[in-house]
Amino acid sequence: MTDLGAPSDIERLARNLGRGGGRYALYPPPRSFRPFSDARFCAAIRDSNGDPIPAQLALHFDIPASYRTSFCGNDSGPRPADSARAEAYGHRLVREIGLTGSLFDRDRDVVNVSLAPGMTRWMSASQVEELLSSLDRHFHLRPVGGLDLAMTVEPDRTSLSPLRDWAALGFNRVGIGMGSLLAADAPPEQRGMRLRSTIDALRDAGFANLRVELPYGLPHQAFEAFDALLSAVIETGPERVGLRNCAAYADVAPSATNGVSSTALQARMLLAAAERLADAGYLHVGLDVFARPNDALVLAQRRGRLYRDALGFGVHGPTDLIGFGVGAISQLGGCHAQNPLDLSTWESRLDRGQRPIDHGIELDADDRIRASVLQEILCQGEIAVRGLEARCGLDFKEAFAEELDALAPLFEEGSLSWEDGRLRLDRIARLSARAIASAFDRHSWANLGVPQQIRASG
Amino acid sequence: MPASSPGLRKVFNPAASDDGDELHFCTTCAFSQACLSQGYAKSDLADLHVLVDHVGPYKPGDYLFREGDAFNAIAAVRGGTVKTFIIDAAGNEQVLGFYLPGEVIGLNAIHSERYPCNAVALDTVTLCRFSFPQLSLLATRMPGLQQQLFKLLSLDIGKASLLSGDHSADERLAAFMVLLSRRYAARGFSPRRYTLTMARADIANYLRLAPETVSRILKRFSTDGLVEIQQRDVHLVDFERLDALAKPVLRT
Repeated sequence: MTDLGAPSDIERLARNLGRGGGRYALYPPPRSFRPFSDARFCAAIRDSNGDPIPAQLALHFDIPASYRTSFCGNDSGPRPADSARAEAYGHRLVREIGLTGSLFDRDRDVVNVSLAPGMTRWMSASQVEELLSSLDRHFHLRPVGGLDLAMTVEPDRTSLSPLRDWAALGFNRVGIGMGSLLAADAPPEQRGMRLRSTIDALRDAGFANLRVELPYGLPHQAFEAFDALLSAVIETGPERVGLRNCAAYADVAPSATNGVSSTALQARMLLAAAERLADAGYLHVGLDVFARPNDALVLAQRRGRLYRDALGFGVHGPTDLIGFGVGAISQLGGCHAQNPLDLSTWESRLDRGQRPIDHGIELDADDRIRASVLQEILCQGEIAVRGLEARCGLDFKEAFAEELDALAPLFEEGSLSWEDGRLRLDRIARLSARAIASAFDRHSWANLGVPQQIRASG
Repeated sequence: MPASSPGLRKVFNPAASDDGDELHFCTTCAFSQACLSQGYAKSDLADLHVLVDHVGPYKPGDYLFREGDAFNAIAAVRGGTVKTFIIDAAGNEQVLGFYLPGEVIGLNAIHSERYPCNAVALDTVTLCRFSFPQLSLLATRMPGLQQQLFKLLSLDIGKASLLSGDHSADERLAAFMVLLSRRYAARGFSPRRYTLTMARADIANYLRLAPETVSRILKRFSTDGLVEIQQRDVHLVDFERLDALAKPVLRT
């Protein structure tokens, strides 16, 4: 940082990245979860059914961590012997769908179904087809066109079934993880080519909406290598590009991120990528996500329908999320709930015919208001303060006096500003919106040092 | 950091207006105006041995009384929402009405001395119970109180007429929203923003509509810019148009 004049964009960005902040896929975050009973989960579902206009549903499947793909590399693929496990896992998922699905009113449309990263290489398309038809029996899935079906693939780690089989099931949103490409075994000069062949194969199979997840901030990742890969991404022209900050990624304490690339280098990569993507015609949607101007994400944002949940950005406005599988998160009816993180507990509960919900949190009035503030920061890049005040019955500057105090340096340097009753994030602040969000987070790491701030009752 | 920030609170129609004590009426009290205008302060009522019992809190789902229970008191809602209903011959629940803070339940029991319906708390409910024999005695000495009782009785009868007549589902739902607004406004709460304390199944049952019909109509109202709805929070954006839509039902 220079001490002469205003800090540069890179300096501001680096400083914000250094402020940390969680993923903010959901608030309050999983680390605030406490033991949570099935009775409370069922009550939350009943409650959501009782809303005058019950939210539409997003469903997702999670899988054991050992089979997930990491967007930052370093995961091992499944072995041949694992297909029997996938079969057994699928059968239990079907039971879980039946146990949970019966609790929802049938006029609640499902608008989004997504598979955990790694699921397409662990399970076959016909196994997933069984899951989808089970969903169809227990929920009301929107017809094709109104339903986002999302899956993830990786170059070089082909899915267990041919891509056209997945396309035939109706999958229409494909994320491409680059973790494996960046693993040591892939020669850097071949990465672009391999990405291109993956994208060509996906296009051939008929997928129209592709999202490349490009990691940055990896240990030992040089700027030049990142920049070269970014060129390859832009050249292949996916509809969406996600930049994964692998240094700040994951729900880990700052001390655990020692030894990764400096925030200055991360800031350089992020800013360069943002500029090159803008030049190539992409718009910045929010956080690390960029999309073409006619993409559903951009249109949803324009109509104020962009919504962020445990799955990331969604285009259908506020939806209730239900997760199936080990460790899966659900968000609905004023609570977040999560299945057991270990496979054997999840399995044994289902084998006893019980829903596996294990821990979670009921949002209090404070959590709801903060969650709503975070939605605006992350989805809209601004807080419509007047609307929020009217909706929540509070005086923003008074209610968040301490938070705004903490953000004072960002106002001074121009990252944040007041404009016509709105708190606006500038371009740099929007790229590092997690840092802004963390100031409004009562559950953030900084605040966890104050034990009385963690509510005893979930 | 927000380490010491007080919990942010939301206060459109707070669960309870629990501000009365030995000497003061609650602000939402159904009888305070009638009494005060006659020169009776709350302490005078105690002198007259009119029992004013604060009871509750009841939890969501708790019964306040059941059909057939002996009637000896009417109760004003101090906080929360009460649903009254009967179970018809086919075993189905028929919702009769919802009672908000300041409103009086049990009036329909005066005639038969038994409660003709069930009453259940929809959220945390607190009540103010008046011994009915003593209240009626007091009313003979206090013309304003008598008038107030008659007014409450006629209001209670009037509420049921929301369902009669050949009004469209749109009109009935608009009337329901407008009436809630008027009732909250009468108790000093915001007429434009309130939190629905009843589930859509209860609203639908009360209006004799299917739950999905209620949602479909509200979605349309929302698309047309009449209302904004976020979970249970309702904002009547274009009150005039909603009111006009409700006119054939409400007539006033």
